[in-house]
Amino acid sequence: MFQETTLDRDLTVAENLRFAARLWSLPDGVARPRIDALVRQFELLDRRDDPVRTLSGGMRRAADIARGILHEPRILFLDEPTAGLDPRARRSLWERIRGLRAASGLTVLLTTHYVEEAEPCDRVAVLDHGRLAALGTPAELKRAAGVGSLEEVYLAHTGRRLAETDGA
Amino acid sequence: MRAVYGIVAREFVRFLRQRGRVLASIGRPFVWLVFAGAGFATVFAGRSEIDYRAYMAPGLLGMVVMFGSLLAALSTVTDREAGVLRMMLVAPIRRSTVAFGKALGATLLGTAQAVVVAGLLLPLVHLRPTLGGALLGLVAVVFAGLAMGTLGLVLAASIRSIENFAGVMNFVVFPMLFLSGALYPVRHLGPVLRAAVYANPLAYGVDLLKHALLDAWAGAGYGGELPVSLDCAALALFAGIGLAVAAPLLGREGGVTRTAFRERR
Repeated sequence: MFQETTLDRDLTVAENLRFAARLWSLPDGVARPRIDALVRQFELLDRRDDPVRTLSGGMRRAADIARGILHEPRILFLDEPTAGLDPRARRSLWERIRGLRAASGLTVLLTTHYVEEAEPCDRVAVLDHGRLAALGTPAELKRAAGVGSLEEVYLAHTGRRLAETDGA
Repeated sequence: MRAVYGIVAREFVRFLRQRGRVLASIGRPFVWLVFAGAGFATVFAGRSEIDYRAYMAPGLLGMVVMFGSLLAALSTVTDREAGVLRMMLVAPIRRSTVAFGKALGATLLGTAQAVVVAGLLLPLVHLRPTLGGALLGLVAVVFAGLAMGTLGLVLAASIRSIENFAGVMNFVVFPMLFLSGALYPVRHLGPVLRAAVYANPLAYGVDLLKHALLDAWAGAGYGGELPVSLDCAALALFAGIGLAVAAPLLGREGGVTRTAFRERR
């Protein structure tokens, strides 16, 4: 899933999912029940035939993720998925991701600037100017840096330079 | 190929949803028929064996295909800006499949528009093509659509933003229209312009359409001027070159993503 949505704003939610299913060469017979289930799971049932442009940012993200897991990948890449979302939409997004991981053993690779979002991750890598600055479980990283939060871990590893960096 | 079908189906859904675009594509040839047709008809009045509006009909159908297929393929620019192109490029299909799907969608959209317009236009100008003529006309429209669609893809892959549409209209669409034989015979033009005619894919489409619709006036010099097989071969050549050029250009999109990533760091 890209940082910016890649949904077609002029198509409906269902049409976008159907389009993605065809791009991934899923037969209609396989795609249709999956789309139905995903639309229900992501609470888009009453919006499934509305154009994506009429959806809120949170709903678009939900539709984006539904699109991303439609072909049942084993790894889902999320590139700053919560950028521009309000707290409620952010929370519901993480609940969905957590649910997906629990239900299917999906591996999620997440990049984010909101470092606290990496707290539930199994392993965290701090990137500083494209270099790997630290790698470990959240608990290990906090212990090693002697701090109480991942945000402080991030600051400890990248604090020397004031620059835009990737934390993950 | 499910992916190609998906890309084509999306083109049609999008087109039908944009009501302004549908009305413009159906209405445009009739605007030309009324305004350009009325003017030119008075110039030719009394000197011609054929009513100018009937003479214009193949050219107008060519125009419908040109706008229909070219604009549909140019929508790739919008696809890029909306991120949809990126989604197509990360799908497990070849880049050439994406290009082919877009070109085929554009071709079929242009063809569908031309068929609808033909149904309304031909009775209006009292042209009654034979069955063979109608079939040849359909072939002409499909081939011209393919050539226009791939040309549109190449343009879309080389222009970066929608603002350049105006430039495309002025420097591609209108010269192509006037040098296609759509509005007047091109065989009396000077050598430079004639060379431009031969480099113009639309000219072969219109010529083919004249074979299809104006065969009865061929003796008076209003029918197609080039052999049918040459028209078809030229259009197929344009389409092949267009597809070959457009596919790698579209594929550059992946490189753009990488570049953006590098810039962010």
